[in-house]
Amino acid sequence: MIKHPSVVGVLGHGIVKQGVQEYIAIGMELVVGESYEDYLKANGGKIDWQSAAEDFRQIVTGMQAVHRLQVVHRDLKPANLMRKKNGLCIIVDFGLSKNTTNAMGTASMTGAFKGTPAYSAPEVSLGSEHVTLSTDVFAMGVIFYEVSISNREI
Amino acid sequence: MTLSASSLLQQASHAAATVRGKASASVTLSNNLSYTFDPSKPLGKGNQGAVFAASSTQDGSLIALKLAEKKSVRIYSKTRLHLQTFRYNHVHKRISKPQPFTFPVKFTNILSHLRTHQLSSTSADSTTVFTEVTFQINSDRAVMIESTSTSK
Repeated sequence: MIKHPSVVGVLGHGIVKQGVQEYIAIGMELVVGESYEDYLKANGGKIDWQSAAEDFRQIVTGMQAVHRLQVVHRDLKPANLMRKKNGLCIIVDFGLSKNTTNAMGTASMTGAFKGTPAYSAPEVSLGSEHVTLSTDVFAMGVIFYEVSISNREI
Repeated sequence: MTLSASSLLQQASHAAATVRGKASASVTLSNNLSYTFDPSKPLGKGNQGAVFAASSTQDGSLIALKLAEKKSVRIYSKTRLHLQTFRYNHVHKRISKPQPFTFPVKFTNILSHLRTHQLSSTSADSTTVFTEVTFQINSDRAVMIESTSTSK
């Protein structure tokens, strides 16, 4: 269990059946705020570097706590970062996360591409066995670049 | 996952009130606590599922509940990155015989890693059809120009 002010608390998991379809359910703290994607849009796609630096300090320390447990988020992007009104940034949606020390540490499909291409490191294309903690670092770099200069393309 | 920004709490409260007011779905999580939620009122939808406001049957407290479809089919694939959109459009929909298609290439950061303008790769989907696909990459679009499939 990851406990960090910048990481959403996961309360538990379960299975929900609706007819013949089964769903994997993940219970998380309800974070009231706006996604960083919406926050960016509201600010014309760019925020001042001081605010960006402070937001990223929080996100990076949160990811540091996640990586200490050898967990890769695998889908870091502005839509998966929440920003509260008080400025607290929280990393959410660990639905694709993977424990790099445990082959069974993921509920996602084996062999399928995971993540959001625009934020994925090039090595992700070579297969899930190439996903490491650095994959998240690449995504954070893309996000920071996007936030800083209002452009994702690198 | 994008949760609607300013009205999220209002939505969550409304969803919780709805949940309390009428029959809905329920789930017991691994923490041994049960929650109810209204499947028809997601707070937001993302690539991998939808998020709902769920109310504890014990104390009424609210949580975010993410639901993702449980896949019963393992998809075997050696698909390269430039086939991602192809796979999402076709393999994930379990179409064993791909049809010609085009899709917008938005991932210039990825495409910049590609040395040639003509790509070929292989993929195998869950229906055990092995498919070889060739793409022609234009300025902003990738066009599938050839595909073959054989049984494994």
